[in-house]
Amino acid sequence: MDLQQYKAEDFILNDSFVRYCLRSNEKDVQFWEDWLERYPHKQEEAAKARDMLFRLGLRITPEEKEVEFGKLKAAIAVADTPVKRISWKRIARIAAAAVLPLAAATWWLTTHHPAAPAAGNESYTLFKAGDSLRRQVMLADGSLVILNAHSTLKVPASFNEQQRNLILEGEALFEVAKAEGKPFMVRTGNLQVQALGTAFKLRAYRYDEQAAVTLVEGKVRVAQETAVAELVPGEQLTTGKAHARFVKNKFDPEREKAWRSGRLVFHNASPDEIAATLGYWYGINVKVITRKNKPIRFNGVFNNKPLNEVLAAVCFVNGLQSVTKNDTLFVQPISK
Amino acid sequence: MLNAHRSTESSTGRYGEKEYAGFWYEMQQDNEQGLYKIYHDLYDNFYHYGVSVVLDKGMVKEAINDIFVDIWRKRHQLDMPENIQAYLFICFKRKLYKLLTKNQKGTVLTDSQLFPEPEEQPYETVLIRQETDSLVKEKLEKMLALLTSRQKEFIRMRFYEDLSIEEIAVKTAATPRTIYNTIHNALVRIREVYTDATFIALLLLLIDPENFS
Repeated sequence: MDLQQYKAEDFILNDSFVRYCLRSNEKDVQFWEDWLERYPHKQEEAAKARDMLFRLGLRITPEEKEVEFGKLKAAIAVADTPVKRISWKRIARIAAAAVLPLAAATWWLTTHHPAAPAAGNESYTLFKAGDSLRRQVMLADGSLVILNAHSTLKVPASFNEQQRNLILEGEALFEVAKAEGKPFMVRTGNLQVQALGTAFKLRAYRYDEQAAVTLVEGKVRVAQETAVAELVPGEQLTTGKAHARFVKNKFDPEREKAWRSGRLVFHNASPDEIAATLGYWYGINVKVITRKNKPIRFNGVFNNKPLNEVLAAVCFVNGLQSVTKNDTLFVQPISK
Repeated sequence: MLNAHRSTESSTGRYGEKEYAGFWYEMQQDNEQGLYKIYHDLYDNFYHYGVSVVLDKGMVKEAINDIFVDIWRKRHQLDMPENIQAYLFICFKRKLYKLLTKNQKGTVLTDSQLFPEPEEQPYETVLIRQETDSLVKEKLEKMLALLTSRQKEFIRMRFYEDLSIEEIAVKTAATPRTIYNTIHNALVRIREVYTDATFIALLLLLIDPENFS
């Protein structure tokens, strides 16, 4: 039968046309796209056939799916602000009304993470840095937080109203914006660090029995149980996580600078150095085990790379493999 | 009964569990692309399952988007499930159940709409159910009643089960010519109803969603 005579029911009974609709064969797709472009007067019947095919197959058309996907993207863009429930009707309206501005808004919202929590009396906004990547959080007062891997920052909804209180688990660097009369306070367990216009780092991982406060600039007051201490720039204070055991040390400013910039450098590193650096960097417990008689050294530079990439490099070069057991990551010879 | 040919629980999308773990990981790193890949991969299966147990398209679409937004919201609290596809499918089932019980307040809930073990409905029923517009539903029901059981069987095999005419011929002992003509005659009738349905759908798109949502 001549294609020019085709009606919807003929199109749908043409196997090649069906494959074009379902996009299951590239050649058929090519053929029908060309053909329909050449004979635009057949497009209406073909569209009818296509619609019928999807309905009879209990399938959703790609166009309908695209609309749904648009709604999802719009919802995801605003999902990180605590709103009770998303109204799909509202989103449908937005999506239908303005596709382009919406795309722009989606981009804006996803690239500019909303830091300010919106509602609720005792609600928190949670920021979590995942397994191996750190995360930057800009707080409502303009302070910047670099949240290290495996760390969680709780920001109360009332943050920056009268007070600036935060709760941290793990490790983060705080670059505190100056704000008169609004003390900036970070709590982890019973340890509190208070600051006014300063940059400091607090580390208190769950696996670690120690906590550490590192002061880059400005001034902080550290309080735990009955102990209180003030730090000056360049000083690091370590203490027990459960009970105060304050010890002050000088820290290596170069190491902090490198941490801040996200540049991880191994220079002729021994197994112990590798373990210590990875633990310091990614907030995990690491043990590097090597075969006797096979000393290893590792060189490498990583810029903001996730842990798995760094591990892959370390393992590949030295013929090792990594295994996670409980809280600890073991880097060990490949077992045979 | 909708047979297992395109059953959702067993069949999956293009990707395996390994890729899914990667997508999930991306999502937990706040990269929504991971979530979107899972969404595109599972959508058709979810949709198909949804319309076969539940009321209309609109509800199914809403339920699918809902679970993906929920997962995104909880991405930092959720551990990676061992079987991501199975996990999401259970989430989806629960969501459908919630939507059903919510929307059905006041009306009687028939057994077939009760979870956790929803029954998949016969092809004809689902064809009618997936339509959103009540007028179209009614017309379709009337039209389907006029078709012979042979016609309905062939339509289901060809377009729902994706069998070729030759395969249907082997299964039913009818000649390909007969099958072709039988389907053709049925399609001429079905087409009238669907043309109306498409028209109504287009009309609704043009109206401000406020008025009918």
